[in-house]
Amino acid sequence: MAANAHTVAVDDETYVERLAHDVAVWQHEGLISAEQERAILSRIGAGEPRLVGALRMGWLVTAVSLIGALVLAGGVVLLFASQWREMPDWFRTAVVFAGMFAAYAGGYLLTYRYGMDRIGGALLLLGVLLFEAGLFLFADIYGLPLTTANDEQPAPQYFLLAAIGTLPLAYAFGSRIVLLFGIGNFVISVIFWLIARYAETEKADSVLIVIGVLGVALYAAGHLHAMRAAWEKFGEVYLFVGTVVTLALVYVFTFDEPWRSIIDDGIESYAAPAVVYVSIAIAAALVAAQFATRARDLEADIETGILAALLAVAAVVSTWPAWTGYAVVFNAVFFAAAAGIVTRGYLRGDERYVNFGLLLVAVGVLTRYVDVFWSLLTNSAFFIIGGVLLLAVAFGLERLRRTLVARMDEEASTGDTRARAPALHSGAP
Amino acid sequence: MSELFSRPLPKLIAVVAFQVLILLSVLGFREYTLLTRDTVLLKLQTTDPQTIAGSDSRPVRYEISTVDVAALPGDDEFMHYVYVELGERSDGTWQPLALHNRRDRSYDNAVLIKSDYSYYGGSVGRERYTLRYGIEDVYVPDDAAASLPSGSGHTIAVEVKVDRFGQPEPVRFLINGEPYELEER
Repeated sequence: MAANAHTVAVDDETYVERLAHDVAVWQHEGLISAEQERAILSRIGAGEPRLVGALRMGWLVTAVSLIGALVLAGGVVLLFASQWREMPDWFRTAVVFAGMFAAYAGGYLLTYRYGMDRIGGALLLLGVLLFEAGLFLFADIYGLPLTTANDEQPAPQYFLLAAIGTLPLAYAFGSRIVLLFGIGNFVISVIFWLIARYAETEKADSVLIVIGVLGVALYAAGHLHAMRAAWEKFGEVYLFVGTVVTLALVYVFTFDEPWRSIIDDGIESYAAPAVVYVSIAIAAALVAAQFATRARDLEADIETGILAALLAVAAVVSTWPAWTGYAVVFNAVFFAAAAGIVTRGYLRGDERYVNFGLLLVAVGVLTRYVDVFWSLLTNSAFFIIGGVLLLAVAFGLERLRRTLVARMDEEASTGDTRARAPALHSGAP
Repeated sequence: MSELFSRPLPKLIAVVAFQVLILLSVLGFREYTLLTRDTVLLKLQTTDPQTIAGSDSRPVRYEISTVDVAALPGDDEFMHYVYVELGERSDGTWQPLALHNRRDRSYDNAVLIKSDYSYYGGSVGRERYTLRYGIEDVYVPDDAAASLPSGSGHTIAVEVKVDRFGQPEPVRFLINGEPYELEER
């Protein structure tokens, strides 16, 4: 009960701080006037300028704390790397445990004794970083291989163990940054495992599909988190990672090279290994489960349809991979996804989706420009035309973005605040 | 019980204990690999026991320190390491059966040992590589060296434990089948 009250208080505080930060951005962009900014701040009880400053500083403290944790962990690992061999095994083992315990104890004391959630959270992250570093250091101390059987990639099992050890901490203490770290480790372990297992076989290209399917599965898992109110905020992390992983693979497949390589390697139809179909089946089950548990509305239907279509494309591509036309298909998928994300941002009144979608459009256009014209134009013409094109794209995107955001704002001010409220409450993905 | 773990401190202790268990599992796995090591007997190129006597002696060279890539099955191009697949001879010593770019076995009852490599030289039909296993700096300690036989013509071998990842650890010398103490520099 006490823990719930604490969580609610922290969420309220986070919301107020985020709002104080956002209204400053909106005012800077001309979406709201200085008077409207002050009115909003007064409404949340932060009308007094020094209080506003203090609220906005909260984000700075979070950012500085997280960077501090990352830098400190990096420094410790570098220290170990440079002095490591000279220390006796027992001392090195003790140092790993002592570092972890100190970070967790510090995080606990700062959070629960002194109410300094942000720095305490950063120390929890530091503990997790030291835990993962400890896995690799222990392997090094005790002579276990740090690389795969071909000695080319880091051994995936340590990333998997890091994910297994990290995820309970993320859920137990409601830390999205730790969750992001845990999911990231899981994704990396899958990628390295696939490379190690299939890199030297003719099936190497087709198993890349598994990474995209993993992205879809994570996305569906994100929606499944909505089943439990306490886990809802974790869902956003899964949605974010799922989107990034899937789009990263789609992006790779927008190039001709992977498809040419598949044809050159003589990969035939029906040659994909079982892991591809097993992963598609698992992802399909998760997509079906999230559809069954979600409230039925047009957005849920469309989203599920897109996820199912992506899995169908994955199944078709892995079964009949030898066709260069897939590059065009994946370009279409990439730009459709970008357009979909912009549309979603517009409909939800969430500027973050709009910005992310437009960023994808820019990346897609730039990539195709480089891909097509690098070999056709002289260097100077390539850069001059490219520069002009970039400026034109930036101009067009900024105009589009401002139009969309302004329309969102108009709709919000004419009373349709229902769509806007969740956007304000939701944290960064 | 569930009320206990709804409080932050017990929750933190439980999660950290879980992480400690995971770290200890790495140590446990190492112990497992040590317990399941294979033992091989690697013959030295020298037949004179005095060349391994004392800490001032030169690093030893095994029979398998030089291999002809062209004459052995397996891979013929290597990236980081050469994994030598060893099989037992009738006299109890071990010889190379195949060379691999990665930790792959192609024979039953074979043992894989990991080595660094350098190109030694080639001629028509021969591609010789010098391999280093990290177990070359071994010798019979000074106090035991006095009992070593003299002269050449002896069979000198090193008993080596090899784990599943190909990491070797020398245990003792065997000269004409008789055990002698071994130390590493």
